[in-house]
Amino acid sequence: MPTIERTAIEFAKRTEAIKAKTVDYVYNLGQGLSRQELAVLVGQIDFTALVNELGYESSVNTLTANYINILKGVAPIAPLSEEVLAALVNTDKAWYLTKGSDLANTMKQELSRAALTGSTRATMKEAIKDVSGFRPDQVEAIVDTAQRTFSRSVTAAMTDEMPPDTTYIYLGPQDDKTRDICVEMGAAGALTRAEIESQFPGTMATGGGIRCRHEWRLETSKSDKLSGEAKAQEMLDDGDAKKGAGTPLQNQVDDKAS
Amino acid sequence: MTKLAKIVDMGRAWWFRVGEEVSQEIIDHTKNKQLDVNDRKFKPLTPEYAARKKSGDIDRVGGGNSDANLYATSDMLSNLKPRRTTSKSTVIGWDLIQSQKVVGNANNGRVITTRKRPLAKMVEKFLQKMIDKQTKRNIKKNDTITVHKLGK
Repeated sequence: MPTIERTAIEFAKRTEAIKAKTVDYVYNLGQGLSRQELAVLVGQIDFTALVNELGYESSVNTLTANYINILKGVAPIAPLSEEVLAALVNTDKAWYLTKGSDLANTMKQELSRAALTGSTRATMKEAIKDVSGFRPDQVEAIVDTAQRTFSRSVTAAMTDEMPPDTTYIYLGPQDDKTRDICVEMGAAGALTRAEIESQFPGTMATGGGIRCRHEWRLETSKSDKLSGEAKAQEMLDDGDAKKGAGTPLQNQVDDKAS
Repeated sequence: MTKLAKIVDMGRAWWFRVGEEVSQEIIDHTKNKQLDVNDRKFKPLTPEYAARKKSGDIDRVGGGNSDANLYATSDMLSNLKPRRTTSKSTVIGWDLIQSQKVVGNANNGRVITTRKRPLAKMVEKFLQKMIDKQTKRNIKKNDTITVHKLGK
């Protein structure tokens, strides 16, 4: 069974290897060409297609195949079909491919400049060293978030079968690490599914974002002891957290990976 | 006459609620009452770890609490929830990552659940009450009086 950590490290390593292969490709292409000729040639290459050919796309496929195994480990028989599972994974897959395209375009820019200055293979590698690939911790955060999102989606699917007046509380810690949006949801108290969707849309599945430790859970006889509603309200009253400071999940993913 | 099958037919939504109620009961039992599956206090934290936990020196731990209650970031305890619910049962548990921590804690002498004793006695009583209540409700709901008319 793949672990999140191992999957993340492998993907980050493969991305770094693709960066090195791209430099080798451009350097070898430049043999026998003038600097200007090479710069023009680099400008004509579709780098997105190139990195995919060099293995980026297949690397994303390997990563997302492991995702499915990791997610299946979360809930072997969940009220979510294989199609829904695939859709959840495909959303992240599309995001990785877009990031791959960004990576390719930045490399193109850097290598085009390097070609004009007549760089050696080592200087070319140096030029793209800091071009944002994926650090293992970034990939781990994204896979971990996918797992949590999936787990929340399983619960959300189950809540479809509950009466509409069923109430939910936002369960999780209220401490100095808690995001403002999570403090706000924690302070909101018990809400129906419709109230959650209108006040905090999408949070049934995504929670507060990347690596969020919270989840909307059915209100039970013990919920008042676990929800931290009073603490969250106190944090809002004291100004330790601000209302309306939520960040869409995708922005947080972009922030984290950039 | 009440049909027995109808008395025990609780429905998926009810089982989902049971799963949530029992999960949150266990979280409360562990975090707030600080009791293990045998209703005994957890083995105290080592003084070094307790100090680090209190100071918030551990990654993502808020700080201010040095109790031995298996609650640091809340990742593990909050993750306990219904995983598989049908019209006849519910399975509660942790996901892959968090379950490894549960096993780690058990190996360290802080046990939340075992195969032999899945629920603490207090939690078991709570579950039994829920089942009794719903059974009575089902009996009442499905009870019908059969009238036998004698004579003319």
